[in-house]
Amino acid sequence: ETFQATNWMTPAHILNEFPYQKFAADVKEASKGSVDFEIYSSGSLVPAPTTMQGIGDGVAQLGIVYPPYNPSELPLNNVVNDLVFVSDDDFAAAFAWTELGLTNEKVRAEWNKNGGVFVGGYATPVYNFVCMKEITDPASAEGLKIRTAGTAQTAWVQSLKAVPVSVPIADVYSGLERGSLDCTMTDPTNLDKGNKFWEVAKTVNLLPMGVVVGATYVYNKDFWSGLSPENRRILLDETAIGLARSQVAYHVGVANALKGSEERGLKITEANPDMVAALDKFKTSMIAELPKRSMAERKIEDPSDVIANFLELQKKWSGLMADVDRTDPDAVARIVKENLYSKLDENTFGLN
Amino acid sequence: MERIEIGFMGLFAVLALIGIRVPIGAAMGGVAFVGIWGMMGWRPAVGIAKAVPFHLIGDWNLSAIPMFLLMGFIAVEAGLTRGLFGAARILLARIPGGLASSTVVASALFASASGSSVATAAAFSRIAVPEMLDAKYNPGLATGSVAAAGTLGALIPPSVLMIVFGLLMDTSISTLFVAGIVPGILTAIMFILLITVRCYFNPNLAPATKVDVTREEKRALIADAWPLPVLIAGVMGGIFTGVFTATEAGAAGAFLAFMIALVRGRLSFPIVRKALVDTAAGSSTIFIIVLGAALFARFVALATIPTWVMGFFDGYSTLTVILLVCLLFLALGAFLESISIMLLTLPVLGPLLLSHDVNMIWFGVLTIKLLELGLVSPPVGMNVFVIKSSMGSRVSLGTIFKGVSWFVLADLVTLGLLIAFPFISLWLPSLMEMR
Amino acid sequence: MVRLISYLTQALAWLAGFAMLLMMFHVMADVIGKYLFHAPVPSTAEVVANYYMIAGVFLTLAWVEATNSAIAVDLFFEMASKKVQHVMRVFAHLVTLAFYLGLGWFSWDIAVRAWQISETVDGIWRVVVWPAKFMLPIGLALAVLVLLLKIFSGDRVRIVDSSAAAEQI
Ligand code: NA
Ligand code: NA
Repeated sequence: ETFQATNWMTPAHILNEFPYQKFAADVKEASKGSVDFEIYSSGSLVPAPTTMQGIGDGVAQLGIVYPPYNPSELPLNNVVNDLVFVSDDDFAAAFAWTELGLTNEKVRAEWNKNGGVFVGGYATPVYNFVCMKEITDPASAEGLKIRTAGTAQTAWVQSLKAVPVSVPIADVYSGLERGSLDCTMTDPTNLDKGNKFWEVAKTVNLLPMGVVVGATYVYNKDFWSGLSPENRRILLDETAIGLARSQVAYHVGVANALKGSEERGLKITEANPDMVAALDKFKTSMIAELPKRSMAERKIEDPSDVIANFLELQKKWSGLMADVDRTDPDAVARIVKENLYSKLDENTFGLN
Repeated sequence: MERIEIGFMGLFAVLALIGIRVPIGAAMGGVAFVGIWGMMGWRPAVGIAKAVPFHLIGDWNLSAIPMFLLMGFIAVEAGLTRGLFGAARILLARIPGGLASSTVVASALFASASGSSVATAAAFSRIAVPEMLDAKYNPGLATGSVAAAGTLGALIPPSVLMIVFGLLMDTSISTLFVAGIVPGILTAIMFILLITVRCYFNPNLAPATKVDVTREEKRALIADAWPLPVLIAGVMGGIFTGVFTATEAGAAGAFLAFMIALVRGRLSFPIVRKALVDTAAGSSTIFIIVLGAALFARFVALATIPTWVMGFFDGYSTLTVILLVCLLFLALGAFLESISIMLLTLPVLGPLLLSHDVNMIWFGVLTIKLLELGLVSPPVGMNVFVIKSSMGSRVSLGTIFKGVSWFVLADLVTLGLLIAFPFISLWLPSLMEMR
Repeated sequence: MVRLISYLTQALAWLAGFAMLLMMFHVMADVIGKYLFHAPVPSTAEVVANYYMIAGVFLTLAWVEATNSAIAVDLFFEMASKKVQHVMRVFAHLVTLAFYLGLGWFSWDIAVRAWQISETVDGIWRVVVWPAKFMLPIGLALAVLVLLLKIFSGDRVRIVDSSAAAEQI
């Protein structure tokens, strides 16, 4: 039977190619055609910001949801998206975020309320500065116009006395080219893929400024509960592989983007110690203030328990990932399956 | 019933409804809803109808369109453009159809400031068509040349369509921009050749404009021509020096038009209010069709028509694939709005074209050119509609489509040249690469 | 009743026109702020997209219907007899009415949902968007009223006069 899956990214994007195109083919084979996802890419079924709503309404049975598009529907998930500014390991962040979504009752309730079942998520590579001018120590950032996305990035840039600019991602390239932006905070795969910042940018500074997380697999509730347990098992197992492939592709992508950028003559610099110290200070105060700020701005109950839960899971996954070959999707998938999906019961998971 | 069958029935239903004068937006949107309901059930149909409108229209990138409309309305209401055409009438009086040719030249200039073809057509339908009708030009030629010249807007950078193409196909937007320049100029030259030849053999199309003005009057007219060139220089200069982005350029252009009108003492409250309400109304008529087309695009996708089309391309040579893709774009361009066509086809065609090793910059230029043709081809031709909406009952839709059909022929020749000689598109970008 | 609809149609159209003016000034203020003062106007893109664009397009729908400027193909219409033309006109109004009524109804749901969760979008400032979502049902509802008026009056009632409107008020 055919079902609809929506992904607002192009078919060639890492978060579409591996966890959707490849995943759908594998699921179809494993389920002997009983679960066959038709993938609607580039937002051709529903616009990106309405993906959650589209899944809840049954327009699509599967979709990729980016919580910052829905701050009011997914406030708790957005707290986590603020929080991952402190992450400096994308694998640990991705799998901690996934485990949080699978096991934390409050987070699960939020997906449930929107008519969705969260089954797995991604983290982008760690964000760096991609600039026209060089950023090194805190003083060098003062007054620069820096493109940011999200509250944490904005607050950090403000703390550097730089000017945070919020422009659509499509305008960043021309903004850098024409000087209306001096810098953008971005994951390095945007250097060569998609936005091709390496065509205009001059420098990259590797200061690790967090990741961005999103939900790779959110299913329509009725669809999920209507599946046979065998098919739910197949989807859970394939999820482990889909997530692993995405993170590995990102990891390899970063290495290639940085290498290619260097070959094109971009100056790539390590993080400056003063800057790291300033960033650490900012992170500490951010974590401390996050519960209070979230309660005030997002109008939610105290999220301290969720924040603590995430940080603890992130530590756990840093440990689990310590000795894994991060360029080997099978090795990563094995760890994810062993520690997450094999522990889920296909007869009960996501049914309430 | 199979989804594909419902899909073809839907295509037929839209044609029938449009044929009996149901407004195009409502026809496409209505059929899309009923069709999705029939294929997928009530909940998905309602879900799509709920999900699409707000986020489709509420888009920062599309804001350039009303702003360029406003720039055009202010320019016209405040009489900023009369001078240029006065001057053009004199300078190009000797050439048969000189006023139409000068429209093409001015459109090409304006296009280099405007991000969108529809906005270019909107501006020139106010600027150029009344001038040509006053000069007793054939209405088909007058409106047709504006509709066709408007298509330069997305080919000559900046271009909203190229931005969308670049994002969808993972291709450099700035390279695309550079690649569009020469094909844009080539298109303009083809249009001028066409106008000149047609008017030479049939002088009734465009009566020769009399040049019995004194030298002083001539000087005064040329002196009066400054506002539009200043506007163009301001917008283009702003974009290329980096003061604003392509999206911001619309607002900047409108603002500059306001300033020029103010300086010339042409701004009054009624003029401003009319320009503003006309801008909103013009945007509304355009975007309700965009909305209908966007809903219809979802219907077409769910009906698996793109997959069905892909079946055709199996096992053909690269050139055949390119030609078939061109035919597909022409066919879709007859009905659908440009951005919807790209959303619908590029995710499907991208991998196919990459497997054939097609140069994506070249293909991008071809795509824009083909989508531009769709803007002037019946039954759904956005540029033609824009002109119709600004001319009201003075010119019928049929007249405009008939007038523009000559330009479509010229465009097909240009398209053939672009396919046969990829270097027309790739030469300028190759210079950039060497930099 | 006719006068009330007429009044509302004009009022919404001017509101939409005013949104166009604000859009221009807002974007220009952002550009000028960015270059001269290193201080862009925060959340310009969000406000432009969610408020000005929506107002410009949806609040003018009734005006567009009242001035008969929705775009249709009159190729066969012009060939038809007066009687057939009348039938075609009413049918076209009915299809448009059904389309707007459906969209209006669904968008009302969306607006109420957005209001209940006090919907915002994140930018440098948090922009409240739920009020913008009410512009869809409002604009569509008034357009439906205009269409009903046109159907029952046989297109004889002149709701607004687009050419004179600028001079009158
Ligand atoms: Na242009
Ligand atoms: Na067309």
